[in-house]
Amino acid sequence: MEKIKKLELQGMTRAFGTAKALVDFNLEIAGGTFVSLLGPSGCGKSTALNCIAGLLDLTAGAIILNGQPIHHIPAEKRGIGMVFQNYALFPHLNVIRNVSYGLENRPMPRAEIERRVRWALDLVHLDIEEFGHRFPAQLSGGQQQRLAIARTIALEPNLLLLDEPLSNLDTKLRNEMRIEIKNMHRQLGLTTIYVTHDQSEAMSLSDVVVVMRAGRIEQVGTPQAIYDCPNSLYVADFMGYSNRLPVQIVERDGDEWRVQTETGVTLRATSTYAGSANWQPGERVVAVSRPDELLAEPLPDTNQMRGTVHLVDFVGKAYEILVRLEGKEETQLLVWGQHPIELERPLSFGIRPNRLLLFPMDDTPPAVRVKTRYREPAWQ
Amino acid sequence: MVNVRRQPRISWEALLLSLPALLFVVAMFILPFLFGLNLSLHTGLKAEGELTLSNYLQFFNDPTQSDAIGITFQVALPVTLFSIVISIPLAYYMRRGIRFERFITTLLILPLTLGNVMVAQSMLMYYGRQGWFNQALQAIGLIKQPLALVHNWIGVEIALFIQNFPFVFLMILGYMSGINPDLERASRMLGASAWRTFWRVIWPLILPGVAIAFCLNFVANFTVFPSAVLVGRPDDLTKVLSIVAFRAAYEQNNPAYGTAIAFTMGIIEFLVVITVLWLRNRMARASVLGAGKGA
Repeated sequence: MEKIKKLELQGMTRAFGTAKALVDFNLEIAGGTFVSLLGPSGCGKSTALNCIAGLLDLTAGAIILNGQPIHHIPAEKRGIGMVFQNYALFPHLNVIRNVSYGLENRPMPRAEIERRVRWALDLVHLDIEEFGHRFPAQLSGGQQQRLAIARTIALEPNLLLLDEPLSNLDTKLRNEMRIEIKNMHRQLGLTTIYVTHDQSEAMSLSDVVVVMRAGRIEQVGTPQAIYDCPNSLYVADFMGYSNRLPVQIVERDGDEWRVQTETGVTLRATSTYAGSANWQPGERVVAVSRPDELLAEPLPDTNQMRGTVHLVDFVGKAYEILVRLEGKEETQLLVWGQHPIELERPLSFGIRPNRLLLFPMDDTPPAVRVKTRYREPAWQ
Repeated sequence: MVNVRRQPRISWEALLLSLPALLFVVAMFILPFLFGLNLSLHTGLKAEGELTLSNYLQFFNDPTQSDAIGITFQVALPVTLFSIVISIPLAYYMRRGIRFERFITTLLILPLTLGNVMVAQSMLMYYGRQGWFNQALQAIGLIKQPLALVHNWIGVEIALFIQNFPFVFLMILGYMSGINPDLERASRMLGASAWRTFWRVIWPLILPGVAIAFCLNFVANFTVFPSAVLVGRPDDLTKVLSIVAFRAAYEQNNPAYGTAIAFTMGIIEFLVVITVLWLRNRMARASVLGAGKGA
């Protein structure tokens, strides 16, 4: 199969009746890139994936692969591989036959089919001698996942689409499979589009992350760029900037902003928001930070705040401390500390000015991160 | 994960609980069954004397009686196959749900609620020589002479179709819509056309359901009685086994002979069901092993 040099998605739009699930989706993907579509359920990421696959027709826009438009080609002729969230293994076919299914749809000598089945199962570390003649129902969740990937890879697709492939696995298996997917991508150099609602998955796997919201692209960038410089409160929220503090602009100071909290504390902060140039003193904005950057043992030359310890939670590497802000008890912030702290004790904590980000007040509710999903009954 | 077969364990409490039902089945089904079997193996009005197969031999040696076997097959098989063959594409089309589905399903279920006598009576009016159907066809100039649609073989086929098709259809629809829709999508993404997907994925998965629907529908059609009398021609064209058995028992006053014919009927049904289930297993195995390739 011809490898991808460039995949251009131009103004992809998909409407269901009057509801638009995907609006003006523009993206250019270089060959060999690992791209993640990240967003909460209903943000249009799966719609985008199904449009690229050809399982959904476009309402408007174009999909151009190596300069050739492909959006009029039916799904079965696009040469794109897709791994489904629920694996969609054929229950009446054993492991070998599940993998050879796609190969048998092509004119291919028997020996070549066998060679490819072996190669694909080998690649996902599924032992053909032990598992080859088992049926999907006789495999564990992780093995089913491996089989689903092997079945797709065996066809050597020009583009690999993965639709939340890890969401049905437990944490340990998920981490294991994540590493395998990453390894496989490095080994095969397959252009991959990965749909997920889990920001850590997207971060660790991707070359490029596309954050989506209500059918539109909110931000595109490398994982590092999106993590450090979210361009909206929505993206910040998705990246784990869960601490919110309403503040008022005092003045601009070079790259930094001087802001004042409602309790009169002056802080220095940064903004990665594009429209921040228009901000005037007195403007009400919101300062956000990640819990692991709001430190209970503040460094010198950082913003200092005070509060009362309300809850302490050991999260493995550190303690997550829920603090009630001094003078404004209803504002609660999550702070990271290296040591356990007694409850109801006053605590001073700090954050570096470049990690306290300012965004305009937004009525966006915090993004819902769906952690658990419906799992198919275990007896299947 | 290897399939662990659960050890059957006798639970006395459960057995005790099922005792009333068990007694009911024994009294209402098993005893009459054995009584009938015993009766069919004797001659005369009472089940006395030695066991003999003479009733069965009499039936099979009398071609004017045993030709009913062939006739019953001719009545039951075509309508069963037709119902199945119509149901599969229809259910395939409706598997994801369609507009007005509830309305259509209601329409389909309605005939189930009508008695077969009522269906037959309505058919005589509707499909008769002077019925609306023939009048309509003549009015639009499609036919010159009215079609003979009742009091013959086709009349019974229509009646059986009306009564039993909904059942077959709903059953197959249930199996069809129970298939994970992602399987079809996955098949397409693996390069299979819709046609190939149907034969390689959907067909093997609905096969058990089709086999069961076929068996139940065939048995229902094989035991046809009222329709064969009311809209058929029970003296020759639709002289099915149940009519022959009825006449033997109640017109010729030979209940033992009639029972023997009824048992013959039951044995034939049993053999057909066994054959269909055997075929299903063979076909399922073929699709698993890939022997049915090129479909």
